[in-house]
Amino acid sequence: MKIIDDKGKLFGKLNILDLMGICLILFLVFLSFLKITDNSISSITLSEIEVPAEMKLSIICDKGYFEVLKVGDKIAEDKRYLGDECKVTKIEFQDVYKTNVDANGKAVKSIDPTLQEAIVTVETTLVKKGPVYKLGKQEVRHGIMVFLESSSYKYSTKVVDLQVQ
Amino acid sequence: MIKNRKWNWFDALIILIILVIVGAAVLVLNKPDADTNKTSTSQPSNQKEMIMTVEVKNVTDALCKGFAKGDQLMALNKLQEGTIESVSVVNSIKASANNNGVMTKYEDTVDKTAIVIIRSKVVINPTNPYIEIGGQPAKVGLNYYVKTSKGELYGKIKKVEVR
Repeated sequence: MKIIDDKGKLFGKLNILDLMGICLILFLVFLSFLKITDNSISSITLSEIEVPAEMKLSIICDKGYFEVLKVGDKIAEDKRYLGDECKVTKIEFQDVYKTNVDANGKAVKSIDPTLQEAIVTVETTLVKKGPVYKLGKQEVRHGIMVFLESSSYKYSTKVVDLQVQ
Repeated sequence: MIKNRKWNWFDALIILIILVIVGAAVLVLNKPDADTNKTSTSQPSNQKEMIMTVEVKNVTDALCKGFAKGDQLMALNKLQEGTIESVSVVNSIKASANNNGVMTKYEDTVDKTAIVIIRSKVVINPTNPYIEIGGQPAKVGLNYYVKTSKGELYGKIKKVEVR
């Protein structure tokens, strides 16, 4: 018995064109599914809970990069704001310390005069999906790198504190 | 000799469904976000002037000679909105430890830093935080290609100011 017979049927039963059509439909349905679920199957299998939270983010940059950073800045992601409740509530600037050795080989801690650290407090609503907290599309937990984005900046930061209510 | 084949209505239906699904998928997948700068017409928006400062480290004077005031930005083989306002090359500010192990600031006269100021008209939309200049997002902290038809530098956006 031929796999594809003279009539173009697979094992004499299923038309090869029909099979291709069905495969294409399934593929497109899968693509649409990924688009709807934001490329994350877990987004429909796990329930989502919105939780208010306060995060402290550390940004270390060359001096002069923080002029646009202001209390009250609304937090954004790509082409949208995350909501009126997501905003910068406090900014503290700190010196950045480095350790060097002196002429005697002794370790000396001193301020790096070219760098500055900003500790930015952000009040926001996180989405909890299973064990994962998310700020927009970014996962949030202590120590993780997240982008702090507003209309005029996008800083690479590290989460130094996370308080979920 | 060509056989007189019978029209298969099931196959025709499948083809029709595929065409409809492909068309719908193309429309859905390429649908622009409702709140983008370019597509939003329902949201209030206005055009303003943005001055952006890009800092480019590890350059020499020669590398910056390809730029002049008024040069238009370029991206995707097309000239873009936005022009070079100024390019200044300054000594890089660095820090190193002295004999006591304390870090002190100094000017490096060999390793230079270029300060490029770009002027561009941008559309400010209160509901959309995305602003781009020369086809790239214009936000402090992001890397940026300063690209004209005569020169290209890769730096970091240091300051943006909307007037």
